Amino acid sequence: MNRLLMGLAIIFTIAAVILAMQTEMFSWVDAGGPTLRMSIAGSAGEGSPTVIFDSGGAASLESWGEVPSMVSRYARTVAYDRAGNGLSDAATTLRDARHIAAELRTALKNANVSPPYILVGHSIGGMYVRVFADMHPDEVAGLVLVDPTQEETQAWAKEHGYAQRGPRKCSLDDEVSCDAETLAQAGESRVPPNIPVFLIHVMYPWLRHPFPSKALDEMEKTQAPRVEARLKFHKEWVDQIPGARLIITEKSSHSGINFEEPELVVRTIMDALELAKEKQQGPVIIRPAKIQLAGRGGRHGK
Amino acid sequence: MRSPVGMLAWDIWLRNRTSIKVVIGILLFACAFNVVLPDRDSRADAGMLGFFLTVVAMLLLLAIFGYTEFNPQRGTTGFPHRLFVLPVTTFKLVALPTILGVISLEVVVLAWTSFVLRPEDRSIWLAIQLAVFMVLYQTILWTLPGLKSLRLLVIGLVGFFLIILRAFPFVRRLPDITVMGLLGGVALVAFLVSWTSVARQRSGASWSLSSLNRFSLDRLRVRASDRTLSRAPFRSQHAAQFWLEWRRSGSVLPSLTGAMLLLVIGPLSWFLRDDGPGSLRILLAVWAMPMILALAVGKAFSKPDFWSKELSVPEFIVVRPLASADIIVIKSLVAAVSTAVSWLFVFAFVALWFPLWANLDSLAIVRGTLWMIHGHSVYPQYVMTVLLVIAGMLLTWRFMIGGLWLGLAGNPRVFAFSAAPYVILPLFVLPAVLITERPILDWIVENTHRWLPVVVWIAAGGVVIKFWLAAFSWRRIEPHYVRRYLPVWLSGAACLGVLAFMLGDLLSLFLPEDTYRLRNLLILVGLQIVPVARLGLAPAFLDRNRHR
Repeated sequence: MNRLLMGLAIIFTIAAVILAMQTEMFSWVDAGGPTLRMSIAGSAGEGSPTVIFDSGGAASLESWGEVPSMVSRYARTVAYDRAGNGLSDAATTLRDARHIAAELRTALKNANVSPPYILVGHSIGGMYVRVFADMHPDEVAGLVLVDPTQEETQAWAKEHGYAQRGPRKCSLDDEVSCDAETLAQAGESRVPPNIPVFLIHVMYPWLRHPFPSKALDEMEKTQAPRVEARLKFHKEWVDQIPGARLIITEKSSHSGINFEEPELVVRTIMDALELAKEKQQGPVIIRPAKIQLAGRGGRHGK
Repeated sequence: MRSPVGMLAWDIWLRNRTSIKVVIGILLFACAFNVVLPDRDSRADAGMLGFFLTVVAMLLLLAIFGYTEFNPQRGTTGFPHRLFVLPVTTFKLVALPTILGVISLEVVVLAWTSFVLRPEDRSIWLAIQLAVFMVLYQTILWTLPGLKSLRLLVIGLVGFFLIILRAFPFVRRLPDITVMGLLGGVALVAFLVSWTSVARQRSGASWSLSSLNRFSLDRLRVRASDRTLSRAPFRSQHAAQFWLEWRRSGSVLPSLTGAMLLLVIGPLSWFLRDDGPGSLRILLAVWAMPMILALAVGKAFSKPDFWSKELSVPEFIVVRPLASADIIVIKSLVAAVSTAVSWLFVFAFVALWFPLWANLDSLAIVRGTLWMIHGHSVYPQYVMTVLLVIAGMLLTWRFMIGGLWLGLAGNPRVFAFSAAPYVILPLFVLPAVLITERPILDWIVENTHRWLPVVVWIAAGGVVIKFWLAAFSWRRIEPHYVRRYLPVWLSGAACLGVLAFMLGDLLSLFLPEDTYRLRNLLILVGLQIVPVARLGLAPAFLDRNRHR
């Protein structure tokens, strides 16, 4: 045997075994039918809220990037794959918001994650957490909506020819096919009173980047009215809820905010956690509603 | 035998009866398949089995109707010269295997489409493309015997282009009947070329595509020897061997890369200059091309003599005053220079293409996505690009030298067996992945949690075997070779390790799986790319072959 290479062989044998054994720890939780993949991290103090992450349409829990692990330094976090997404089992019920919210609640119960919850929903996940909060108001301590899909915006987009898909039959395997039902349920839902509500509005619904592209230039022109409409409807929705806050960022795009500005999302969740704890510990002091601008030199009130 | 044509058909049957019986068996199985599984869903589930059986049948038909024999006088494999003495016109000699080949291929396609595919998946295009491929395949084999094993590469390229032909926008714009007519015209021209070439070979005339090819190679050799006489003496026997190896085989890969860029990729990129996704696909093709070419060229490069069919070491090399390990080192260096020059051509092409006529819209989306994922930083994508290029170069080099131990061993059976994947992969497995009704790629993505843990352990096992085998195979090699090669290996492995780390994190966003496992699998695969163990085996195998 060549001694030098034998030394390398010993080192790489150990390295190969370690690499093969290293695995990520997920929890596999029954949700009353399908088994869901959950990533549970951090620890919650007595009665302290747990932060639940609900991803965008068809996205897996990885779409939150580093956000859950950053928040888990301060609170217990649960990121999960809805049934039919990521590594979770296929769904056994229709993919409208009510069924999805019911599945989440069962899964949280089976995973021994007790309320109160701060619900964080991205895109279509924003509607799911709103419906969850309406169904179980006593269990929700706060809402953080990260550029959520909104019923008014969708109706406007349909009316002005921006909707890409025609009506489809709500099915078991495609949550976007149930968007009509989900939009209706979200429209009927009510936000529980006296909980902190934050809405992060992202100015760009498409992927925005600094690289020269004719397609991107074209997109900016054609989508300008939609950008305005989205902002208008988000503002109107926030105005309806006492104490709710709107945070606007110009630095991120709809799909990428968790990677582009994770600090903004984390900071907003931390604010929600802080307010929720204040509510639990003493008299409720909800700060006056205001709009905050993030990006271009940070975040400031208006 | 009543007619010469009947005799020729009987000859084909006699020489290939086992293969023909297997093909008939497969067809009968397809019929039985249809009877046993009459309903749509069961047939769809068993579609993969049907597909692979059809692939086997098609491979056998290609082997039968390749219709070539070794000609010891010329040292090449081409149209059987023994048939030239028969009282049959050349037209019949050429037309019979062509027509029989096309008909048999069509029968297999018909059986497959009728008994296995669902009605909505049936397409006339497959039948037409395969018929044209059979004619082109025979033409290449019969008219270019001088190219020897490189014909496989030409056949692979032709097959690939036939498969993707209808994906080109300028072809899509043509009416179907025009495309069919063009394909028919190509097949007719190919047949005429084979007919003329075989007629020339039969008449003993000096001109044919094959003789032209041999002529040009001979001229090159004469010119090379002239230059040998006129140039200054070599500094050492190593330098002389390097010069010889480069002249004989080193320049093939750069020449092929340059030709592909000039004749195929360049025109294609011009046609697709308004098509963003098309440009992105071309960029991928440009990146992968040196590696794909190195796969084929490396097979011939691994032999003692690139252009010889023999695997025994030529006497000229046997008596060289060089140790076998030195010859391996020189071959590896020639492969490295060959790789570097090929990639230089790639860089030159991209440097012209990007600013002048490329449509970079789709690339901007990819870059934008990476920019977004990396928190608005462009540096990670620059690092990844550099590492991807280094990985491409390392893989190209690896494909050139990875088979040295097999080629230099001098065992024809082992060598032929090791060449089988080179035909099966591009011609059958790749199209299978692209066209099967339940794409294999979908299965891979949907079942990651099933295969990934197993594959990670297999990759770990591969790393362990590689290093222990390396420690064993390098035991008799002088230490200074180890000291020279180890830094090369470590630098290559380090680059691939960093790339695997970056790609693993990126991949986990698109392929929801255990992030550690994905990343570790890539790292373990990266550790196996730069060869160690097989390079250590090569001198011993060459020694044995040299002193046979």
